[in-house]
Amino acid sequence: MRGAVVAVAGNPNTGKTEVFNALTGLRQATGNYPGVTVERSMGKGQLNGRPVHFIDLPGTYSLAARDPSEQVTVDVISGRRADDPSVDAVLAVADASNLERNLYLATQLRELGKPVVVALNMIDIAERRGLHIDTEALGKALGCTVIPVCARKRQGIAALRGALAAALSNENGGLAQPAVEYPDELLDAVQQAQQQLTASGEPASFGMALRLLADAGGQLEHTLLPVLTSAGRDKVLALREQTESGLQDSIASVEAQSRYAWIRKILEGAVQKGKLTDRGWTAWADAVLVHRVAGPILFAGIMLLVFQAIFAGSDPVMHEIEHAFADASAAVDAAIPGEIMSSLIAHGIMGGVGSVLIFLPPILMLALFIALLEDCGYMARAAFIMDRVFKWCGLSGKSFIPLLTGFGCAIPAIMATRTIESSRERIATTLIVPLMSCAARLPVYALLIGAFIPARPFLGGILGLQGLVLFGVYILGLVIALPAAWLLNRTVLKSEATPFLLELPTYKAPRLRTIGHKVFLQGKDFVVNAGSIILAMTVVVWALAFFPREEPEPDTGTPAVFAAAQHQQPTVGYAYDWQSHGDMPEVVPAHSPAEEMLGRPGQLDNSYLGRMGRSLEPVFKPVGWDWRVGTAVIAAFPAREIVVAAMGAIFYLEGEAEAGGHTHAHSHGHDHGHGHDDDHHHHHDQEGLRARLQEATWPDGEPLFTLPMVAGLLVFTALCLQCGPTLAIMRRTTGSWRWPLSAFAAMTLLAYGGAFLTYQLGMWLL
Amino acid sequence: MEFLTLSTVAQTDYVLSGLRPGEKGVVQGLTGQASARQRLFEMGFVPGAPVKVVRLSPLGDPMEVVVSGYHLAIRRRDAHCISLRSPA
Repeated sequence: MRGAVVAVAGNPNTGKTEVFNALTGLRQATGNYPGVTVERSMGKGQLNGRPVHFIDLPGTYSLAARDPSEQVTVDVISGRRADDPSVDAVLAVADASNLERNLYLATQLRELGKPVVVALNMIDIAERRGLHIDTEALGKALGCTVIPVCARKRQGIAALRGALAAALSNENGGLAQPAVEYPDELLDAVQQAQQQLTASGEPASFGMALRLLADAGGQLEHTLLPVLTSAGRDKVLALREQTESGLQDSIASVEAQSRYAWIRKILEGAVQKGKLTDRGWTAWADAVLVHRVAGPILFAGIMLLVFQAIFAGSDPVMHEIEHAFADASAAVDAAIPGEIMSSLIAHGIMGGVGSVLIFLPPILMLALFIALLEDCGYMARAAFIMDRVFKWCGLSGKSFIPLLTGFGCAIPAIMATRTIESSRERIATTLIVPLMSCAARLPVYALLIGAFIPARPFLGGILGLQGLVLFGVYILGLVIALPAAWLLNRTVLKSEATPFLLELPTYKAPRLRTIGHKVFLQGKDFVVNAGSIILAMTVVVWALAFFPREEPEPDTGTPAVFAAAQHQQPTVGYAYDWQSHGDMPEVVPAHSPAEEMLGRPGQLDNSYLGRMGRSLEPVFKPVGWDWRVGTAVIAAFPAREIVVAAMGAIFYLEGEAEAGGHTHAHSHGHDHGHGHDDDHHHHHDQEGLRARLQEATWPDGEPLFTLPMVAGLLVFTALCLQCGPTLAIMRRTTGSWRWPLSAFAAMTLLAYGGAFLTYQLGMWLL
Repeated sequence: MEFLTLSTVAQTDYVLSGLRPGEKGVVQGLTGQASARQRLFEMGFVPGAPVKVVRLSPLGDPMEVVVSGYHLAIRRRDAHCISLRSPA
């Protein structure tokens, strides 16, 4: 990589990313550090006309790492990550009004042997609170340049660039000796540990050796001890033991105490406190916003407004996208000659692009609100209020917003887990989000409940049996999700309990530029990284439903499931429509899936998908499905709402075939391919599909859709991860296929088990 | 002797989780697992640091405290590991 590399590190809530943005602008690329669930942001900038790469490291309070994701900061700065360029200088961003704790990390960074520049961000707020900081004295004590900046207003950035350029051109690099005054025993021990590291060819800065000694059981020990010689390993462990018995305290404790004592000493000389040192209007705002009674009410009100705005705002746009893609794909289908090509482009590729873009409106809306709530400081309060609800299952208040979002759509919900710092909690939340009944499940629920659950009134007509069943399937996901998180935290995600410590920063007026930046990056990230996977999955499933083509008919290439799926995708808005109107939603949006179904009689049965369904019939039997239901369920794995369309395709055609020669499918066999012939479409509305399902039987004449079978199918839909885009976004946020694939397998088993129990229990009871 | 034992018990009972909103103390020491102690140290709960409880969450837990000049939410379970002495 050409150009110098500067790592930007700092505490959370210091405006670190704002400083990073000020230095790089929009020239950023995000990704994941391989193997860990840590976002990796790189940006390009210039210092003195020379190109410089900036790395935005995850916000952290300390370099002591307990898990691999916390290890990233130390490893990147010390050049221990092969996939990253070696770092030439470190920019430590500190909150000027909270120096005591912020300098804790800065002094640690200063010990890693690289030149350090400290940016005192939000200097304006500190000054308004009456803090006068002598940056020169502070820099002298720390042994590095200290620059006051206000990144929000882009103030002090030029001076910061100058200091960074000077640090990069300084040939001496970082200072070997720490600024903090440690007990001699500790200094001796660190020096000896440094020798062991040098002997093994590892980076041997003071900080590295100190971390190895201090963080007993920590992540550095796990990765560093094994690469030392066995003598070196014994030496390090013996050093730790000797030093701790000499100090009569743990090294970690002595380190923290020495650091804080030293910081307090130098701040006494460098900072003059005025009268107005309290938090100003934050104290007043908190008196209301986290008040015992008013707090939860306001919180519920804010959440309601946010989610109403997200769905009300994105729904019309989603419908526009949906219609535009439906029209465009119909036009392409008609315009492109050649059956396979036109279907691939119209339904495989455009369907895939459509199902990427359709998720953008809610993603951008949610990103906007999360950025707003985070930027102004309310997010921490929301977690503070909700924490107790999630504590018992190993999650925290920070899981609330992702889980709530999951009831709309899992894709933005999983993107929202990025606000959770603990990687264990982030993964656990990501894994249970798909259990929330998203809006795409609603068409499936509505079809099955509408057709098979009797509309029996309860409590004098206030509640109906249909509504109760719908409520039941919504609750089912939640009821299983939290114990699932509890189980995950005790098994695969088991790790040492870490204290839940949540900083409650001062409230700040949100900056449009920062928020716009965050929203833009999230949208771009989704389209580029998850979009490509979604597109690929769509094409694969298109092919499974399209091939083999045994008797090609001219210009009829519309894999039934896919044409229908395009009209079914954008369902995020329906949950809210339904709630506000109190009715069952229209299952069949804009165009009826059943209309498109007739485009290709028998195609789905003959396709690889249909063959899969037939051969898997023994698996479907115990849950009461025949191969037709099973095929529809399999076809719906990329997007669960497809099940409605797929059932339409299969049951209509079956029905037509049984009814004999006068059926639409057969009599129109050669002209229906044009697919937009209004003549026979209106026969096949939702009523028709309901009726078909109600009439469907096993070969022996027994009804297929019995109450236990329908209940089982509802349970299956509630618990199954039938959503390709969710898998793609899970891979994106966890950095590997391991989690999405495990979640997929686990939820499929869970859904099957749930359907099995429901069906068998129902059969036994009835 | 008996009096001493009692007062020792009283001393260890004086922990952060026992403070009510508005009450103050000075960190005396930390108990619990080494890694949890380290995290608390890093966040500013070092011996000698003054702490003050601001309020409890509406659901009763966690509690909002001021330590090292900033505000922090900490669960009672974790606050139980922070033993205090009364401010001078």
